[in-house]
Amino acid sequence: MLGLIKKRFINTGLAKNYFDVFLVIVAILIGSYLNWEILNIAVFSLFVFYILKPFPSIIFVRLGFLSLIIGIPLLITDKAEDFMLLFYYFLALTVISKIYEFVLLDEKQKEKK
Amino acid sequence: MLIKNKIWFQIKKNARYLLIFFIFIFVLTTGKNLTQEPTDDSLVNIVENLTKLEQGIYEISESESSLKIDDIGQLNRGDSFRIWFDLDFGNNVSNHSDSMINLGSRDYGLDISLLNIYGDKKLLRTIDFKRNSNNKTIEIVGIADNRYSNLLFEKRDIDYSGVIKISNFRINRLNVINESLLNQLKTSISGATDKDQIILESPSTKVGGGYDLDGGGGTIGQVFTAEDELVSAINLKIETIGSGGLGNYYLELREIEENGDTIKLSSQRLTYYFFSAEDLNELRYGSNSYHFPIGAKLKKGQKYFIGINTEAAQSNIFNCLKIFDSGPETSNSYGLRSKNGKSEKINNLYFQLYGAKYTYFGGELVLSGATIEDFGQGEGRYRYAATGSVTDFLDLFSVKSSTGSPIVYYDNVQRGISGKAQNNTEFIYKFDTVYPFRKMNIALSCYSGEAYESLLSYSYDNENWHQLDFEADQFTLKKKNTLNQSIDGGDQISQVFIRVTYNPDSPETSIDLFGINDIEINADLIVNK
Repeated sequence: MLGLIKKRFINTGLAKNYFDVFLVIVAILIGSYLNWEILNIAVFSLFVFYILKPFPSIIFVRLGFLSLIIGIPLLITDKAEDFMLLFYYFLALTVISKIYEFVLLDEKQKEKK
Repeated sequence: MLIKNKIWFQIKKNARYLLIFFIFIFVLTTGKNLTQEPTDDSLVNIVENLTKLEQGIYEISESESSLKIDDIGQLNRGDSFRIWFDLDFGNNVSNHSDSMINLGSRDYGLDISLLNIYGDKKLLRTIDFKRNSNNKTIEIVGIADNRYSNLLFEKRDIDYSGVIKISNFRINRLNVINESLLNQLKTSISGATDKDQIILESPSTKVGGGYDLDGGGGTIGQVFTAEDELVSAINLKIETIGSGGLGNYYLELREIEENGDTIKLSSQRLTYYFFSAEDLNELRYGSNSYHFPIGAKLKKGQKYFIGINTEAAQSNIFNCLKIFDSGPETSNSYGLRSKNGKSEKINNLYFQLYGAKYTYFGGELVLSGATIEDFGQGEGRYRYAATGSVTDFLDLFSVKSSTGSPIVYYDNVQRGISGKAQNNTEFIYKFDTVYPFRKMNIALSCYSGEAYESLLSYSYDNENWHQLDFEADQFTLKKKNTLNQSIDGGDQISQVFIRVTYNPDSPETSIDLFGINDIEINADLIVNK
């Protein structure tokens, strides 16, 4: 039985996937428990997701500029502030992901040597 | 070595899960939003100003140079008058703490003059004051040489940047027709309890590192031995970190019992002052120093604890209050940190404890909100009005209960005197009018809502009590929470006692609290006798 579970889930990496999804859900729950705004919960869970499954930093750059571009025409309304905040969050996340990528690159070069 | 490598390998493999685990813990402990929602300042200001006007408080703000008061009625030529008001020179000049100290010694002037509709002024008085100086009661007597309809307050120094508050303003006509009769009037008596006396302070004046008041319902405070019978305020050095936390803090006074090394706080607080981190600005006394009004009558020689309770406040390491200490403890005076019933000694806090000194006239105590004035031709007026501050508590004549220490205190939430509805607790006012009175009017209101109903009675000798009844609604005949009753003095009596206690037959749902606020006493005096 145990062998089967091991074969089916852990070896294929499926269980790990479920656990990752669970962690992202926990992040959302923590955010709602602390009465955060939806925007902050979204960014926080995206950050948790990034730690679990790193994706290229360029995506953060794109998301950041997207919110900047959407935010500018909204300057006449009071929604612009949210988008500017989002832009700022993505800027910070870009920096974090860039640093991570540099560290990774460094390690890979070391391995090659 | 191999096992170590294996563990290291596992940690490295699962590093991201560990990271997430730590992030979750960090977020859970510090992620709560403890900053106040930004409110619309202009709206808050409007509401504040309206309430102030309703309470009869006028303000000359930093940007204004003068203030015109309309409600003096019409003064005709030859009318004699007496004007009373309290002046307060901005204790709460926030964010100017440094300049405040530098400018402290300079004298400023405030011109007070009568004004008619054509803009003609007659200067009545120039008042010199220092920045940050205490409340002053001002009395001006005069005879109008023209028709006047306004009173004008003008700042003499334009560079004075504090707020000047004018409260308790009133004007009385006198029965006097010329200057010589004016000079024959008896001097007015006005009670001004001096609350500027420091009775006790921390043994050393240096400021130490301090303690964070971060959440968890702990209490940090100072233990001291009472050498004086009255306390009116305490100064503490506090720093707000972040927003200072949400919710309310209590500055509380308790009795303590020392048994060798164990220190026990009394379960009942004798008195407390209720504040939030936002309210601190109004209590500012200097840089990082705050002045908490807290009134209590102490027993000489008894040890007391005064400190800040965080039970009803939410805080974390980024948003909390920090209270400064001043050097190590001594045997007689030390700081105390108490949490979950356990207490430990800490360094002495940085503090100054203020006492109170009453005004006396002919051996009799004159209450702090009281004025006794001569109108001329044998008539006079006694007036006592609650100030809505801690002095109201100091004006009490006696406080009693059948067992234990009676718990009666100035309540800064209700702006009145509160008592705990237990053990037949009662408090008594004594009004000494100096001259005998014909008639006296007593007006006050008691707490409505969930508090216990108050029972009031008056007496001329503190022994035979007569009941005072609350007003009834004209239509429903239901009892209101206000009282407005007149009593006779019979031309002989100059002392009245008013006793306040609670009705034990109040509904069971009541919270065990009773009290009164806005007490106002007016009496017509016979001054010749």
